[in-house]
Amino acid sequence: MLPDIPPLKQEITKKLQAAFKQRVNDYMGAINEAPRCFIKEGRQVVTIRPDGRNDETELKVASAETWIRVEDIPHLSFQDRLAKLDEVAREMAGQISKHAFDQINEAVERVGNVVHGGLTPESFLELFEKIYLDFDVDGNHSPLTVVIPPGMKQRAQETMEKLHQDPEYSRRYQEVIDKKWMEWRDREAARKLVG
Amino acid sequence: MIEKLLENWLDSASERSYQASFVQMLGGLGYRVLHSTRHCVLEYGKDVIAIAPDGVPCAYQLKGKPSGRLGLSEFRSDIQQQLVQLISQPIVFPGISKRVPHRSYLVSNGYFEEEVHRAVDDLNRGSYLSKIELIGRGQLLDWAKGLGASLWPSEMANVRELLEVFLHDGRDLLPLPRLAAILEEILALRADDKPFKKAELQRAAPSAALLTGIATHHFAMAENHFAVASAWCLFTVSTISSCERSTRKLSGPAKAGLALAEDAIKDSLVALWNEVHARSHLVESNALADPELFRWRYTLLCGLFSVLWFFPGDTPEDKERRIAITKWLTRKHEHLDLWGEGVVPCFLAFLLFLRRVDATIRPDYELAALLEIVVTANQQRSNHALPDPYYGFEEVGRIRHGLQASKESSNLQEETFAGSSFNAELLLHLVARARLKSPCRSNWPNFNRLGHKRFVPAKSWQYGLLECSEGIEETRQYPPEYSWDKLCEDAAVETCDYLPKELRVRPHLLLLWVIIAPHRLTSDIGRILAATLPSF
Repeated sequence: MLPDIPPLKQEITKKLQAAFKQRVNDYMGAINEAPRCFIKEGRQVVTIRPDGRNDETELKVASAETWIRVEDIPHLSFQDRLAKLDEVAREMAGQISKHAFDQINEAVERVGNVVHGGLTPESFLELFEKIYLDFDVDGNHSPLTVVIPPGMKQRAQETMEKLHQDPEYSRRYQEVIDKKWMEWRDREAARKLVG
Repeated sequence: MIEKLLENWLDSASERSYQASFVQMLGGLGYRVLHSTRHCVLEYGKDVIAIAPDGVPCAYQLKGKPSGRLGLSEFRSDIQQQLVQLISQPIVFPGISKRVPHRSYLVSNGYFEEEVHRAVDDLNRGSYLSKIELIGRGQLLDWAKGLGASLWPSEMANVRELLEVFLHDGRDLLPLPRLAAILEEILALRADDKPFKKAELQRAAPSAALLTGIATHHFAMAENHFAVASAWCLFTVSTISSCERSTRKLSGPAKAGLALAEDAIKDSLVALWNEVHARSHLVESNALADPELFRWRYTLLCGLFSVLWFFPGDTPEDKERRIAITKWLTRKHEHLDLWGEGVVPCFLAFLLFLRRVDATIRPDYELAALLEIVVTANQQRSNHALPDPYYGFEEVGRIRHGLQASKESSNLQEETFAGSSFNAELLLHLVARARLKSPCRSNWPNFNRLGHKRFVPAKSWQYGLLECSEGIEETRQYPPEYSWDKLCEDAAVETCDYLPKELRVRPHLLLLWVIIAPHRLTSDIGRILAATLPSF
């Protein structure tokens, strides 16, 4: 073989892999904020629900490829390689996000939590009515993340402003939150060992 | 390469470090080893007592002579007197008739000089009960090659693992995954292996035992007792798994090897206890760095000494040691550290021990306190959730101190532990078994918010694997309202489909196994331990 220094290359690869991982996380956006667990053993992940029902989590493969021509290698700077990895990271993150949103869509369809009607204060209120909210000791609900296509960002911001500034919508919004707080209290109070 | 490794082992072993492998070789040759332990003094000059395949009792005196020759002056000054006792006094051991003449052996991992042979001839011409035979380096090497080498790793990857374990720094923790990979190849525990037929298991078990002793030679030389005990524990659990996979009853050399390995574990734990007992402090080298490891070490020692307390044995030495351990473990502890769920088995061992020696309600309240800490720490959005039991102290320590992350500690940084627990269910069940309704009630809301995790291997023999590719990772969510009666019913279950039978009947071994492989502690296993560990 030609002269080489594998340990040095291993360290460089580690650095690139760390950068790649970071890019994947960045591109995943809201999904990156979700709690994360690694499967250390076995090939099946099952959640046993309170009613005894078993929900199996479907595992999916996410993969992406990139090509580097041998003749290009001597000229590739560190930044060039990062750019190559960036393409792959975007592809990977897209696949992971898509799978996650497919699962969320399937779950909300199943339990009837889909709201139609576009980005209006009415549909936002309907949405809040349907979701499950937890509160902290100060009475603040757990932070919410809204995922929308970039083109609808402006519209969504306007709707949220209307929801908080319009007296009627603001009153109704507060009513929903108060109701959610009571539901949360009831849920918490229901956690008990009886008998 | 294997032969070179065997030579290297013999040429650097001390008497203490090759005794465990020596008795495993005797077992593999068909001898029934009756005594080989170092934790109780039997008779001056008799390190090992065994019955030969022809029924004749044999007594062995072991000497360590790494890379050297045993000369006449050393023989006369240190050994001859012991040999005279060896050949002139009958073996006094239950089951051995004093009237049956025994064979005596002087064993050395070095060479015997010509003068020593002559001196032994002179002794053998005397009118003693027995004659002395010499077993030197050459014979030990032949035995090792005959028993082990042909069955040892054939795949290059595992040969490399073997060398890595053999050459590992003897003061470090045992590289368990590497040793596990080698034992899995020898004992047919890989997914694609065919289960052993009876004769195959009987050949493979002594070979695996010999390999365990030799691979961990540097740990034995460094008197790293925890590493040595871990290695023999892995061997015993792997042998039981192989037996379980082949659906055969544990018998013959495999059973004998297992018993010897249990003795080796006890020897190591006793040596550790003796060292701690004799020391005025528990600090280990490098004063500047040790404070970061001190509490981990202290908690581990509490777990290991609890295991030793549970180990079978009713000799006067065992009884005396149990009293001393009880005194040490029941004093006030200021250095216990719940650094992750990986240390819960140590706490469990300690609290189960405490339950056996303290008739008051204290052990139960200690359990309830541990339950409260675990369920509180792991609540959703907690910033101090306990890492799951797949992460050891080394990974946790790297993150705690901002050191360069290993692959494992890098994963630890990315993983979310808040919102779930591997051990909370077991702790709640143990508190319920103690009929402490009040702490169960007060902890229920926090307990109920958690997902309760466990890994269930697909087949019972896979429980003894350090990492299992087939099985289900379960997360259980409890309904918000649960009845006390139902909880007590759950807590009373003492069956487990995935626990091999031979491990169930050895709860002391099972307890050590969950300390070195904490992810194997589930609520099923913990309840079985609570029910089956003995009282003395």
